[in-house]
Amino acid sequence: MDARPEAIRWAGATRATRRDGPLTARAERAAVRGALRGDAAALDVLFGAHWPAAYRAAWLIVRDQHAAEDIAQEGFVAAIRALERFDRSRPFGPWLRTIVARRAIDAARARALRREVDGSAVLDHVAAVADRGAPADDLLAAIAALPDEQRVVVVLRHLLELTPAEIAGVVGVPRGTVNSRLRRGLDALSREVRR
Amino acid sequence: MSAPPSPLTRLRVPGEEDARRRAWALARAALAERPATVAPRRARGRAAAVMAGALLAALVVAFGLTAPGRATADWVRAHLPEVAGRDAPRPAPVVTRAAPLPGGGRLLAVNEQGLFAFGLPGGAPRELLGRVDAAAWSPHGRFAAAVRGIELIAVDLRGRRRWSLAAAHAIRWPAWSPSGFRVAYVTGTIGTGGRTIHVVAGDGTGDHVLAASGPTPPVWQPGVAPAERLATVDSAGRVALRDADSGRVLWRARLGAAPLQLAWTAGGRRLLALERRRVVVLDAASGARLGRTPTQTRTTNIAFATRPGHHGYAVIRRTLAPAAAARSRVAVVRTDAAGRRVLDTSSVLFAGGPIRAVAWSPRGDWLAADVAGVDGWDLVHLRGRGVDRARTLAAGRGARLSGWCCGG
Repeated sequence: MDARPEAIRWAGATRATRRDGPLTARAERAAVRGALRGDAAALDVLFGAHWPAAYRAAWLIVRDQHAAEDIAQEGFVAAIRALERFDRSRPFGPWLRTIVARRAIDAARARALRREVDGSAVLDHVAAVADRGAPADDLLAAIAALPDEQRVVVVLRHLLELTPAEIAGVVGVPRGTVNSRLRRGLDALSREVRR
Repeated sequence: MSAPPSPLTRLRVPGEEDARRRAWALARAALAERPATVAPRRARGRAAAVMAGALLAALVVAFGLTAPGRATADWVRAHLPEVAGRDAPRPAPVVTRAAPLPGGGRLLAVNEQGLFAFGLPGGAPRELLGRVDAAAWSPHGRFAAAVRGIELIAVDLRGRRRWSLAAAHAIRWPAWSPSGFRVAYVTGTIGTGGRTIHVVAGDGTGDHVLAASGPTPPVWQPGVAPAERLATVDSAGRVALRDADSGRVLWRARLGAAPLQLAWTAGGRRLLALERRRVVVLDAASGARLGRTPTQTRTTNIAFATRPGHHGYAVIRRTLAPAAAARSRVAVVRTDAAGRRVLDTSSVLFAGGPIRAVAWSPRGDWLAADVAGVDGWDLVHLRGRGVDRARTLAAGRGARLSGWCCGG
């Protein structure tokens, strides 16, 4: 699989195959340096490593496909535009994830205020998918069904891998509250998945 | 020491793949829009300033607030620029530069915003005109012929209109002759009384109808100056070589069907006609058929471009299988010197969707491919039968590759 639009790939041996998933710190630093130089292949590496989690987290927080796409897309583009301000002594992933998390939470709050979506459509969709039996879909359904405050911290902690202190900063609640919401959310998830 | 990944990282949520494709296009465009930067280095001056500051602090601590202490601190503060080597630590410079165009020359892009040239001195893309429908370089890349509806516009590299003319119907396929003294274009449609090929002088004067046009863009024959000859396809699907001034037909050749595209080999000794399933080689002097490639059974041809400085061409092929209708590839075909026989074919670029156009760099070492749905082009450097380097060039939303010319 190739992340590039329309699945473009070049013949020849010089272009490394992009893989999704975690990067080593060294590979990530190299990719950031390459992106700073304008190297699209380096951007591809960063994109493959971080965009999927960003989109999934945004989806799970706002539970709306289009809003999630906007949030992940804008977060990634904002990160690219601000790349020269990025402190390269620190890992890129958490920086990007924090950008996306903040945007997703802001969007979720704004949507809640406007009462745009109640998540029921998404829950119906997830339930339909889960009926087809894939374990991952059960988990997805269970997360999507969590109350907002628990779902957000579970996603930030276990999908975006933010620390409780970082989550507290992003969500704007004390760290103890983060931990208690996390505990309740994981307990609820555990019950749902074992059913 | 690292914790195992959370099961959540394996989740797939709805719409992910489509969103990913769209996001990647935007991310790539964002990367192209921002200036390339050289990572700032820690300047020696900054380190020296920090050391000097530390020295000042140490002296303040050492001498306390006594009068001699203050005096010494004042002396150090006054001489800090000398100690540090500069007035104050300045921010590390961020070097802004535009990435040079690999392969040299100049690329012409028609995108949703307008007509842009890449590879000009200074490196940054330059807008030559607002929104246009199509464009082509002049032979030395000093001008572009652009089409906007019924208008044909000659524009220079500073974006100044040199001349323009208007036709009765929409214009398409502008093409500047190798000498620079003629521009050909096609106007009209079958529904408006027929498509005709027009030729106008390079200064915009002497516009005249040359012949009826078929469904294929006319191409100028190189290497015949001072003659100006144009290979055309007539409404009956026959290939004809015409004198561009008199309209006289030098020869006609009937192929199996009207070709999709014509292209001259370097030097203009052979004319290649791209058909859906094969490429036919015609002799420039007589129009005689010299050879053809084997009929393709699994792919259909879309477009091609002959390779400067080499014997061969690059051709876009799309698979015929219904399940994979949108798959495309660019194949580089190497032929013998006469152009009659294919020596080898290698696929150098693949895409899940359509590839619209290809263009060679002036030396024929880089190949640009215009993949639909991507706001930019893929540039690959060929070595032997494969690709040894690849670049992407963001060319703006909806960018169409309209020519790569000439350098200088």
